[in-house]
Amino acid sequence: MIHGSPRSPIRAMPEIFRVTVRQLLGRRRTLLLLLLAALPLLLALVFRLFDRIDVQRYSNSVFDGVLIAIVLPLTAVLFGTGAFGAELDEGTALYLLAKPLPRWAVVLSKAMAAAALTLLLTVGAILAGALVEVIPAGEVGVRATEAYVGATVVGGLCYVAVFVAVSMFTRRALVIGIGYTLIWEGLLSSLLPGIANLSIRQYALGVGDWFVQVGREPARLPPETAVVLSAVVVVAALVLATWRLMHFELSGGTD
Amino acid sequence: MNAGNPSAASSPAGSIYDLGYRHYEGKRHGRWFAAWSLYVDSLRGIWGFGRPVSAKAAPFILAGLYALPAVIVLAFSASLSKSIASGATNPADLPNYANYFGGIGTFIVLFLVAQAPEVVCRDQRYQVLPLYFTRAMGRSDYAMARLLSLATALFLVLMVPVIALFIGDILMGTDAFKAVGSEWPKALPSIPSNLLIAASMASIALALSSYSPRRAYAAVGVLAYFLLVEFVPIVIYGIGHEAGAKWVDVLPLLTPITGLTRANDWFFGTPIPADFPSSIGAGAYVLAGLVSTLLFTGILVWRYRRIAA
Repeated sequence: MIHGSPRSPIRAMPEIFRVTVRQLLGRRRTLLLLLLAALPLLLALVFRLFDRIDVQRYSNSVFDGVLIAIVLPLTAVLFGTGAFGAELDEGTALYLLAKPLPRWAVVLSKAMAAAALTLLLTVGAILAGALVEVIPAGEVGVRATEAYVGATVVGGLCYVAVFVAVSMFTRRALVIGIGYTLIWEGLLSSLLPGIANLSIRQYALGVGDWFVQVGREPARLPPETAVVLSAVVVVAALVLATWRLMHFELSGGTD
Repeated sequence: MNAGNPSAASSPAGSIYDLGYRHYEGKRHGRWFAAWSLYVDSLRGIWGFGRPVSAKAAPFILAGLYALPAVIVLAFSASLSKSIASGATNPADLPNYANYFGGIGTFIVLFLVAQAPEVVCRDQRYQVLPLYFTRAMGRSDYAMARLLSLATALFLVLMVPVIALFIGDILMGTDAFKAVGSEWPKALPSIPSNLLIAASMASIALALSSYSPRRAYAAVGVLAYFLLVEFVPIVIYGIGHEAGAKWVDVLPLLTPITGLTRANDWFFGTPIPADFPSSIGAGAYVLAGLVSTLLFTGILVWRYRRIAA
C-alpha cells in the first residue's frame, strides 16, 4: 500500500473498472461478439421450430460445442487482451501507471472489467438459449442450465485471467490466445486425454459436472480437481500479471 | 523558382507539383505489370521472404504440420510396404490423395488465420492504400492480385503432401517406371480439387480480413467464421433431419471445410458418407464451392471499390 496517497486504492478501482469497460465496449468488435452471443438463442429457436425439446442434444451441441468451445474463448481473448493491451498500444498505459496506485489494484480492476463483460455476454447467451429450449423441459433443464452457467463462469474467469496476464508479456497475445484455443484445446486435447489437467475447457466441463452430468460421459476431471485447478490458474495468472506490471518498462506509444 | 526549371513546364507529365526532381525516363510497364509485381511481392510476403525470420516461422511451421503425415508415410515407406505386403497394414488406413484434406484440413484454416491478415491488414493500418491506387493498377487489380497470391500460397501448401505421397507410392512399388504410369492417374484429381479448395478458402479468408485494419481482429473474424459456419449448419441439419424436414438437406452445402471435403470426394469419385443428405449429390458441393468463391471474391472486390483511400 502506498502511504500518503490521497485516495485508498479500493476507491480508485471502480473508476479503472468503469474506464476499462468503456474502452472495451466502444468498438466495432462488440458487434461481432453480440452476434456470437446471439447464436444459442437463434439455435434454440430453430430447435423449437422443429418442435424439439431435447436437453441433452441441445446442450451438448450448442452450449458445449458452440458456446464453451468457440464463443467463450473468443470473447475472453478479445476482452482479456484488450483490457490492458489497448492501453499499451495507444500509449495511455503511462497515465494509468503514473498514478499512485498499487499495481495489483490496476491488474485486478482491469481483469474484473474484462471478466464482467465476458460473463455478461456468455452467461446471458446461455440464459437466453436455456429459456427457450432447456428450461421448458422441467427439472432436468434447470439442472442443465445451472451446470452450464457454472461451467461458463469458471471457464470465463480462467480464460480472462490467463489472457490478461499474457497480454502484459507480449504484444501478440491475441494470436497466442487463438493458437492456444485452437491447437491446444481443440486439436491436442481431443487426441491426448492426458492434458485435460492443463486445459481450461476441461476445467469448465469438470465444474459443470458438479451440478449434473449433462454429457454422455463424465467430464475428464472430477469437479473438486477442476475447481482447485482453476482457482490456482486464476490466482497464478493475476500474481504473474501484477509482478510483470511492477517491473514494467514503458516505451511510449509507438506502434 | 519556377522559371529556373524550364524542363518542368515542358515535361509531358505536366504535373502540378513538379518540384524539379529527376524524372523517370524508363519504359512504363503499365497496369498488368504493376499487378504482377504486387502478386509476386505478396506471395513472397506470405512466406516471409524479405522479412525477418520470425515472419517465416508461422507459414513454414503450419505448412510443415499439414505435410507431416505424408512425409512420415514417405519416410517409412520401406517398412510400410513390407507391412502392407504381409497384410498387417490396410493401405486404406494410410493417408492417401483422396482422404488427405478431410483428415487434417484444420491446419489449412490455421494457415489462413495466420497469413490472410498479413496480406491485407497492414496496408489499411498504415494507410498506404492511396500509394497503390495512384499507380497504373486499379482497385480491383489490387484485390485480385492479393487474392491470387494467397490462393497460390495455399495451393502450394496443399500440393506438398500430394507430391510426398506420390514419391512414397512410387518407391513402395516394385518397378519405379511402371509405378509412375499407374500412380499418376490416381494423383491427378488432386490438382483440380486442391485448386478449388485453395481458391474457395483464400477468398473467404481474404474477404473477411479486408474488413479490419488490425491483424489480430481479422484473425479472430476468420477463425470465428470457419468454426461457426462449419458447425452451426450441421447442428441445424441434424435436428431438422430428425424432424423430417426436407429443406435442411441444403445446409451442409454451406459449410466451408466439410463442403470442400465432399467436393474433394467428387473429384476422386469417393462415395459420400451416409450421415450426409442423400438427396444432395457430390457434384452439388463442387458447385457450392465455386459459388462461394465467386461470392467472396465479389465481396473482396466490392470492399476495395468502396474503401476510402
